[in-house]
Amino acid sequence: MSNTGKIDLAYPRSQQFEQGSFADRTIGIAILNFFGGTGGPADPYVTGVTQYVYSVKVPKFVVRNKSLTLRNPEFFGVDIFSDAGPDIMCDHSFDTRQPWWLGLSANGVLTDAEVKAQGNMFNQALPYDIEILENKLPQPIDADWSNRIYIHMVWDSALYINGGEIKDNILEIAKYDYDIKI
Amino acid sequence: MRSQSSKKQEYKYSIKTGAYADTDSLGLILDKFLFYLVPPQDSIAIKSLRTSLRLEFDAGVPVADRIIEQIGITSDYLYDENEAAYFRSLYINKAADANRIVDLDIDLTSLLKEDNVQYNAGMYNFGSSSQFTFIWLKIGRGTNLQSSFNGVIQKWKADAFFVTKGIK
Repeated sequence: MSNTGKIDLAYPRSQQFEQGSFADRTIGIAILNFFGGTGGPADPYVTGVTQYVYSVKVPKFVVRNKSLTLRNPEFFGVDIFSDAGPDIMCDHSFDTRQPWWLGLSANGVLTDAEVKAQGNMFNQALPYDIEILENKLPQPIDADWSNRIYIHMVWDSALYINGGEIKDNILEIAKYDYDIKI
Repeated sequence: MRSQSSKKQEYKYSIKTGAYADTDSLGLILDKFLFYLVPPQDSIAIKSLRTSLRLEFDAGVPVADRIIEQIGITSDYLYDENEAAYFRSLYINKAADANRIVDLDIDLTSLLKEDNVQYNAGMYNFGSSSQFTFIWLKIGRGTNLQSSFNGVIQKWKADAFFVTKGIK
């Protein structure tokens, strides 16, 4: 009896094992809940204020800010809704998308009306990029320039809700164009 | 003379196992849950699926509702499974033991829609497709557990066998 020595390759190509839950974003699996009413895993965040401001530090020797592109990300970005009230499990649920306004300043002090007056209103589904040109950017020649660009976000009611917490750097800097002193 | 190859052309295949096991245990809120085993990115079919899980019901859940009522397969991330493009389930009515724990190990192959192998590693935006294979779990009788904290998932594991692109 002859033996060819040939071995059939009967094992599968790969065996993978992964472990984790939704919360830690493990690639292999997800266990999905439904609470929140919209299929999302979290209770909406009540803004509690009508304005949120944070600052981004810019290079020390900037002499002119030419453009700044902020990205409102698809997940956990700024997307303001009115509150439809309690849902099955949460005290808050998404009702209607509401406009919000973006303002920029050199010192972080703007009233809600002043932010709105800058005319940057948004009321659309995420994600999107916001490009701000130099005529709307604070400049180093401003008397109270602190080497920071303050980003103000304003909406109409402190009772409005957002998908995630409104916090510093919620808008990502996608592009920043400036002139520098050599 | 033309030659004819007798070599059989077969697709590659891949076995995948995913498991959740956590000392913190995942809370059971509401009465329905999905388990998504991310398929290999180049999958063209899912051929078999087996799952095993262990739940512990909260002491506040009435004894009669400490059951896994149904388990099945759904294609959409929707609370109302009847709105899904594909949904199949089995009524199993498996009750918890005296320690409020229920163990289940079941082969769901017969419920599969083989070409539902949508890949979504980012775990976001499941609403965009009706071609997922989610394991669907329903606890409690009827709508009895629809609005409360009901317990924890201690373990949940799934094994699946996929056919993937590329000729072996």
